[in-house]
Amino acid sequence: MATAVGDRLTTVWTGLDRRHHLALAALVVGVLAVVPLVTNNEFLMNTLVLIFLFGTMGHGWNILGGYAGQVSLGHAVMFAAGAYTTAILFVYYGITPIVGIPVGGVVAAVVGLALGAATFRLRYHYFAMATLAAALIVRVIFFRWEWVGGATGIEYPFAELGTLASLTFRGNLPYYYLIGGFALLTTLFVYVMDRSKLGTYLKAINMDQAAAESAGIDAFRYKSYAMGLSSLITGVCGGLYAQYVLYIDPASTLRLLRNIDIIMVAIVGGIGTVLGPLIGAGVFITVREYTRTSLSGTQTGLGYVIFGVVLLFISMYRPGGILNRYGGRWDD
Amino acid sequence: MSTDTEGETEADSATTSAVRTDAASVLEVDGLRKEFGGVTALDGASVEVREGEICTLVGPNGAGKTTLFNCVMGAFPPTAGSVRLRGEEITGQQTHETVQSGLSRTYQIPRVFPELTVRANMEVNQRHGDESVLATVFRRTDAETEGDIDRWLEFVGLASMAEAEASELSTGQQKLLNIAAALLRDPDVLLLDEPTAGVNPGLVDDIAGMLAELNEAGRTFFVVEHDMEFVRRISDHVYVLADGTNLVDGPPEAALNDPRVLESYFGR
Repeated sequence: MATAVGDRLTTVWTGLDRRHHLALAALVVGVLAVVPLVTNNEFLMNTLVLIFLFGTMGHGWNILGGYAGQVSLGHAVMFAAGAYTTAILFVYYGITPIVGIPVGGVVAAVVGLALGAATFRLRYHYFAMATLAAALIVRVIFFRWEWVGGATGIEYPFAELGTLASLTFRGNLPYYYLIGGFALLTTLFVYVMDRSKLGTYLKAINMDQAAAESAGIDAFRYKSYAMGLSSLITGVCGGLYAQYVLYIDPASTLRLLRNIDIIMVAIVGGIGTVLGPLIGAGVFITVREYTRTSLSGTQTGLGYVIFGVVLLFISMYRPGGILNRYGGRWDD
Repeated sequence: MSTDTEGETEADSATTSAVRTDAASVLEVDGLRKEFGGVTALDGASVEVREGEICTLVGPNGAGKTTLFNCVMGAFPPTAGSVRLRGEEITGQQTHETVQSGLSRTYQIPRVFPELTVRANMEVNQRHGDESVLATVFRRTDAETEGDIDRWLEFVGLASMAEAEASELSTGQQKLLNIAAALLRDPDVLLLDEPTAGVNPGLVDDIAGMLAELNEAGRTFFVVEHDMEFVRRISDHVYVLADGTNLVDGPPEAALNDPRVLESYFGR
């Protein structure tokens, strides 16, 4: 059934022209915009905020991993770069996150480009291993680096909460629109990129790098573009995450599973597709949050078992993700 | 740059310089050597491709033809020797730099981007400058390139399949797409690696016709080929390579009928 639903979604989306895409998107955005007006359910709002946040991170990863085919296992580094920059600028220097979040995105882009410069010569799993190694090294450094709070991390000052300058809020609603707005902006960007020169070149590099170079494409240059954009988006997500949870530490921003979470939303939704990360985040976060809050606890770990089984079924019956860019061919 | 080997035949020495056009050299490969570990794939091979000619490279399996192509295109750097395009040294350039310098190539086994449409495959080959990231995000192609894409797809007979995925094309059609895509860059020299391999006889005729038409219009080709009938049909000048070095070069009939060439293919 998952296969049929996924195929149907893929067919419907690819069968529509640009005008209908925008109309459909406007409808979905319109519905999401009024959701907070009809319900204030905390669980629902939190889940939707997390879907926006992880969907956007998935978009970021997808530009590099899905489009350019450079599977990064170290995107938590860029996420942490954005989160720490935002928090440090605000907590240590009093610089508003309105400035701190974009600066965090730029810092993450610079970190990503440096990582890319060192690792883009590597292909396939060697690149993935190198990025994972970078993530593990940065994690250890941040645990021991006292200036950034070491293992205890950085906490937002309680007295500053709720002010516009701090960009922190006392309910979920402003975060819903703030993070949702960035998710929308990122989705539009990826939609445009998918049909652009960059999107076409990245897909070509992904399919056959040697042939793309024979077409005159400087693979290193375009992969760097992908890395810069991917890291920028992930870094901004890190900053938004810091604003949302008001506390960051290496255990939450740089844990091994953070790298995997970012990838999972893209893989579940369909790598190399425009809407895959958002749809993947919808499924991934909803199942995770529901099983975690309702079926897990001190007496039972059933939530994670069910969560794992759901992911297993998706990978078995929809190996290319819910929106499968490769049609059924991955099943062959 | 004819081969000065000892024991040069009369036919060879009589034909190499006499019949060949005196047009300017476009591509000059001089003393190219390539070693892979202990194996010498190219041992001082030299080739000169002149403006407006179809120059063909033949030789038995293992002669080093594709290695020479790969070294010229920058797929891997030569151990020694030089490659010059319109007099400018391009030896050791990376592939994308070589392409931007003015060479394009196709492969023996066609290489398309299977999940991209035929049109998008062409777009991959549009000219790439020093574009900023934003310029590549908010543009797909320009109107002039769009027109050129239509023109070349029409030329190779793939216009009606422009929106089909390249994976849906037959091998022969994929070869045509490779040729059209390479032509989009308007290269100084187009290198074709076995354009007739795996292609049905009807399409071989079509490809020969296309090359003749393009050559008539002034395009220069450097072709690796095994089909001797095809070589005789299209070539202005033929180089024969054996064991990584030049054996003979000259007009097709003279070069291909040289006893040393027959010996290199069939043995004594």
